[in-house]
Amino acid sequence: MTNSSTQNVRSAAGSSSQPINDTVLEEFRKEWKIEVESKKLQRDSTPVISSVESSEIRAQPLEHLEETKDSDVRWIKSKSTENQNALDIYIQAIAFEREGNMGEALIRYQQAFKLDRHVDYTYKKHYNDAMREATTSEGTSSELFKHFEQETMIARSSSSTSSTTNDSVYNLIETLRDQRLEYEPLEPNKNIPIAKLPNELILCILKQLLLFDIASVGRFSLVCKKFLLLTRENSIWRFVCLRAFHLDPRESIYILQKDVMKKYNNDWHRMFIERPRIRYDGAYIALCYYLRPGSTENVWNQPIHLVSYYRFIRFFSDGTCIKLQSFREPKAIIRNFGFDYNSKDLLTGCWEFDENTSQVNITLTETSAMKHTRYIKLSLKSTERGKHNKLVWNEYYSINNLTGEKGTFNLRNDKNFIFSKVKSFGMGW
Amino acid sequence: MATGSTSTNISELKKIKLTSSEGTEFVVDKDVGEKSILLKNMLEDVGENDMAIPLPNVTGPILTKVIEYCTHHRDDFFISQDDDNKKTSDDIDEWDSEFCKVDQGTLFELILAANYLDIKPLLDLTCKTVANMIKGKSPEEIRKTFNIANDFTPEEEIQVKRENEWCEER
Repeated sequence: MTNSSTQNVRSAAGSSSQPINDTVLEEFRKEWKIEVESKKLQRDSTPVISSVESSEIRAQPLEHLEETKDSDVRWIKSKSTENQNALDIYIQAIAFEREGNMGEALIRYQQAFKLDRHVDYTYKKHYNDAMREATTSEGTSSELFKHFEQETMIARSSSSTSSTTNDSVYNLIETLRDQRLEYEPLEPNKNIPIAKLPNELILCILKQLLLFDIASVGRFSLVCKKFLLLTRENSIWRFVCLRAFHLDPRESIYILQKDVMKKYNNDWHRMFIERPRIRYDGAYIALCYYLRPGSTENVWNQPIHLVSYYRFIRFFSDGTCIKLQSFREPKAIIRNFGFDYNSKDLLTGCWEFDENTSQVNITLTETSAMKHTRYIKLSLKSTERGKHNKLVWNEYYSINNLTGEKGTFNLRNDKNFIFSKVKSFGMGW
Repeated sequence: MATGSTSTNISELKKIKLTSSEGTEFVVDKDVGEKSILLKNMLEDVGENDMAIPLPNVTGPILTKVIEYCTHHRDDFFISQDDDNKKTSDDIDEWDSEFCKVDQGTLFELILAANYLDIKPLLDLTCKTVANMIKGKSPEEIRKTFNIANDFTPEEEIQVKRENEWCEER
């Protein structure tokens, strides 16, 4: 793209050079050549838009060539906005595809490729850039980036549970522990009332905050060094872990304590992040689709129907769960998705989680006719550290309650479940 | 919420004296004072006594607030519900949330007093109130709320941010 537009500027400048003042033009050519040389490197690495900017600047001294220049620039501009549009359309197409709206998706894919044959590469490049930006800078999330953010869920590989063990701020925290940390005032002439509180009382506040919203504790740790250190205090995370993992009060907490020592370096914070756990603050949703050949009267075309539907599972901390299969969009369902959700397709049941295998076993009893009991076995994974946001199918079968006959469901069309947080479902764990 | 009518009747007659850090004397009903586990234990240890109990860590205005709280909740049954409450910010009742509408200095003094006097419900309430001031805010907003400057280097900030990614909502 870059090359062709440069060439175009060159030819435009060349073709209309004859009738006009030669010396001025010659001077300009020299200038221009130097500029081109100096920008060549830069241009090679920057995306299309910047090449338009530079060609505009370059074209400026050529006042007498206004007409050619203008149309030329316009051409380049339209070319690159086309690319930009192509990318936008391409992104829309992806969004539609993910929603299962294949018709709209196809139309947009076609449009996008018509505008830019290499739009898929452009997208990939932008995507990678956005990802790099996300990890290096502090996530200045532009509109575009926000979109990419959603994609990462699926794009990133999912096998990272305890492999990413090293806490990247571990060293920082260790050095902070040895320091005597004081608060610095934001406005120097005002005092800092919270400085009155000893650490143990700030920990009391943090415990309350953890009950409301874990993400807020993360943001709290970014306020200053002292707060960071406090949010890593083992005692508050022990409190959280006991609530999250020690569900059976008859069981001794000794097992948990042994676990944290052995697997998590006696760090309860790390244990809470990395130990697999089913999340209650949202629903696990799978978009499934399959192709079904349609019938037709003539032989020249063979319509194919793309059928898409959603599967929803929500887990509750008391060991119960609900499952729903529906053609309706998640938006329309999720807010009221509870035991009282009004649908004949709602299945209720109970679940168990095996921490050693990360497998969740769900037993569903069909609500209307209690003829069958369904069994679902899924593996819990994380797309990123500490997310616990993906459920992968292992097995799905039903057993006839009367005859004991087992029927296995084909898992071919069953896509994995991805977690979506739902605000109205309550706190983060 | 059980109204312990018998205990109220008996202790209605009894008063205890407290002295704030400035030396001001406060006279309160015994059942109100006993909302504080510290005072309750003291009274049990010392027995019937007319002496004022000195509270060198609590100022007059704060003690007034604490007494106001304990008086309002005098008939509440303070269970030592140790962390068994799945309570969230929403269930602070109206009177309590009005009670906590004070400046930050007072709020933190109240936390200190509740901790010192060992009044668990007051400590929970005040800590919840502070947690509510933090909830949903960005680091920058929290800094403004508490007048705290950012002492991280940009690199450190990025590190911490990256490490915190797991808990941010997506």
